[in-house]
Amino acid sequence: MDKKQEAFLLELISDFKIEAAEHHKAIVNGLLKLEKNPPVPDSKSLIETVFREIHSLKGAARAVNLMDIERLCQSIESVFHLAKQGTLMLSAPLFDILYKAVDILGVMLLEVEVKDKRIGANTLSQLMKRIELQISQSTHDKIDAPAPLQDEQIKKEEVVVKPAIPPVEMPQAEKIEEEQPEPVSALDSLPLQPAGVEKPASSDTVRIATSKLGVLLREAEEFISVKATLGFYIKELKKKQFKELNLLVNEMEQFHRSMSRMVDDLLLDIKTTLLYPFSSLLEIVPKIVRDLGKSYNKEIKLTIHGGEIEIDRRILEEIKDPLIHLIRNCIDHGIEPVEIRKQAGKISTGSLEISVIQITGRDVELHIHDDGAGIDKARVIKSALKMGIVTNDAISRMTDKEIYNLIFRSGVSTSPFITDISGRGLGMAIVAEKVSNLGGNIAMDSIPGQGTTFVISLPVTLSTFRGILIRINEQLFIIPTTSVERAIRVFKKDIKSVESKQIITQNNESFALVRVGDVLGLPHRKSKNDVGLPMPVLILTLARKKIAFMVDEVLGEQEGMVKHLGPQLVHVRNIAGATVLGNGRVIPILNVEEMMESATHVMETAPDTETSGSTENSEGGPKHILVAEDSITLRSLLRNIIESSGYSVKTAVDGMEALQFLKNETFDLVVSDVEMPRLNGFDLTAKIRGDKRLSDIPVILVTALDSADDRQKGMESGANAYIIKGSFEQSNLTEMIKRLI
Amino acid sequence: MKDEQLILQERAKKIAGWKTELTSKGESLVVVEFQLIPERYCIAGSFVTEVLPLKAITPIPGVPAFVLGVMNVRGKIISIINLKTFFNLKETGITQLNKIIIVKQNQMEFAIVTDAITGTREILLSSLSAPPVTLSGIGADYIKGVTPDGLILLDIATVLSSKSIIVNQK
Repeated sequence: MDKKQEAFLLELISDFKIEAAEHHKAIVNGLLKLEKNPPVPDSKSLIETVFREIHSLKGAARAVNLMDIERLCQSIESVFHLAKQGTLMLSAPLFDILYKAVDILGVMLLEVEVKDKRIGANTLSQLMKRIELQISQSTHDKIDAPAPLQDEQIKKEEVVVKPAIPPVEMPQAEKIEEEQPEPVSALDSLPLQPAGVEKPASSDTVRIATSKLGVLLREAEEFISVKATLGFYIKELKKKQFKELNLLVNEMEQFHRSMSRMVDDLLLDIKTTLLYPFSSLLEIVPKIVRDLGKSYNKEIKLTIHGGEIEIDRRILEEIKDPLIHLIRNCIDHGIEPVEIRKQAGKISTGSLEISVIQITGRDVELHIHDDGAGIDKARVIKSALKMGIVTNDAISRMTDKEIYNLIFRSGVSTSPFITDISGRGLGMAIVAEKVSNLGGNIAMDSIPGQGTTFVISLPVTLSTFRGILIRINEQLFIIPTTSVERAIRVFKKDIKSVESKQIITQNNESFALVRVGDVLGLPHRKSKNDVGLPMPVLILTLARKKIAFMVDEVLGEQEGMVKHLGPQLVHVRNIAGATVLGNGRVIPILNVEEMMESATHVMETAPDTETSGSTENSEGGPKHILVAEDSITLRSLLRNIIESSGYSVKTAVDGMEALQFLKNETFDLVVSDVEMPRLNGFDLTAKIRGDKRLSDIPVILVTALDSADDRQKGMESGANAYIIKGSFEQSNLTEMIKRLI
Repeated sequence: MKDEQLILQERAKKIAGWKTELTSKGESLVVVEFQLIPERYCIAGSFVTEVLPLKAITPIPGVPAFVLGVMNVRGKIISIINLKTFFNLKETGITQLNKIIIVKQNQMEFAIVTDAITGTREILLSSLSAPPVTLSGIGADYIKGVTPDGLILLDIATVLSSKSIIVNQK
């Protein structure tokens, strides 16, 4: 019960915050209007409005037990109470203190749930005292407009706020800001602007929580699958070739096209709202550069261009660490110490240039350039050879640029020393991986003695993901395209066994070969390779590793959104997430990093993947069995049971579909449920028996019905065997199948 | 149209009457009742967000046996759990398992697979009795009690917050 109340209170408070924000805004607006207008006829109604707003806010605060806010409101309210009665003139100093009070009120409203509030009791009572003081002064001199100034500070403020000509044109937002740079006391110097949130909004901006934008984006992204699904159905419809439908299908196609554009536009526009200028990230750079320069005793001039260019804030967050790493590298390895620069005839101050360049509407590039010594090619080669990443032979065929880019491979470092900043050779590989995870790319070029440039290309928005769709047995998976180096075809005879590991060789490079199915622990079925046909193999690469993965089929490239598997499946080994195809089918996305690890493990523990314990029959391929069952769970259960005994299985969702399959393919046996929509098991059996070509196929009925009547009915329809679901056992079914074929 | 209205009105009356009748007898709970052959279970309705037929499962390799796989619910991926396996109940025979109930509490959300979903009803908490010994297979932690007509009330909140339901192979 306690928890419920707590939750209830939280809900109340969040409602309060929304309501309070509206009141607060109305109060600020009222104040601004009141100040601008010299006492005109409608100032009375304005005062009334502000009074009501502040009064409502007070009441709302009391209702949720926010006493401090209530007290401050009370204090402000008293000003307007007197002003309403006409006993108090709203003078310039009074406005100042009211603005201050309203600003502080704004901070308090923002920090309702925060424990460490920046507005302490002291500040508050100080503020309220000042309001009281001002009230008493203003009421004394209510007849004369300029209030006598006893206080130097107030005088100073007045100069700012009350220019000779009232600033009628000045936008409201700027006005508030103008008054703030006048820190006069502890109270005034309070940081009233929490980072990034509490900037006074100009009239054409609305403040929205990023979490809300996130929800909007997710919802808009769901339209991608709506779009794809519609496309899929249209494609299916077109296959049907009904003349009467042609017109409709054409119209649907047109509709699909315009809807696709609308969805794309919507998504793009929502993504644009998530854009944020690079400057928010780059503002940390000067300090980092200054600190590093000091600790390395190097003089560095930093130039930053293009900070105004915008990019998805999620990318900004992710790119922060790689950027810092590159900057550290430029300063540690790149820019030379002053003496060396002098010897080389360079100006003693090194230059570090960071520029953001908008390439297209969708791509930006981040250039990080230093005018240092450049990359030591010999050291890169030495390090790469030592780590066994390349061979001498391969190096001789590489361009300088290719050699430089070896530093993005794990373990390669140009630094002979390992410092706390760099030299372990891990950082660059991590940088490259992070960039690639964002759908970007990193490259570098270097001119000896003149410097190094890193170029990171990034998508402006976190884009949809691209992957290679593959099939293992009957399951589909997706491998991120960025990790696929190439796809090849391999015959069984090309696979060599070296120390119980399987190896293939391509262009003088050898790769360990492993089946994706073995890595994922899926059952091994007879494959094309076993009958002399080539098998598709994908060479995956990540960091310094390359491994060849054998799959059953490569179905092409797919674009989609990466989705998490949900809160219950926090992390599943080898699986990075899932994406949804146009037809609604969920496809797991493989986690290449973990696949590589698992592959190493598989190769060590189960080297002989050829021994598949299948009980296949002697003549050629496995026997083909058709399973008709309307329950998806049962369908896959039956499929697994039958397949694990070495048969190949095709499944149908009901009797009607089963009959269609039977007409087009040859099956050795049919396992069918009894209760199914469209065509039930009894009728399916009867139809099979009634068809000359099919009449010899054995049929096993699986049913929940357990009555002598049904058994009779089953036998009459011509079924060869009858299994009751309630007493179903795996061995029963497989033995029965074995007996029948 | 008229018939429809009549039916709706009748139904409304029935539901309305039913509630006042029960609440007068003590604290009650609205539950969603389902079948996991051979037992009938129910869970508190407040945790149920949706009830759906199970049309497609994508199996996920390497997960514990109680996770049947994942499904797509309007673009969101939801994992499907077989409570029978999770509770370590002995499986006898095979059943349909083609209806799902999506349950949610705080951040946790998944679907439980059932043989049939029979509907919602209100049960009196005072009428619950301790589970029969035959059900000792289910960790007693997950059962709240049994109604006079043999409906087992599962403590779905405990299942939802159970650490052992979370798969984290990191």
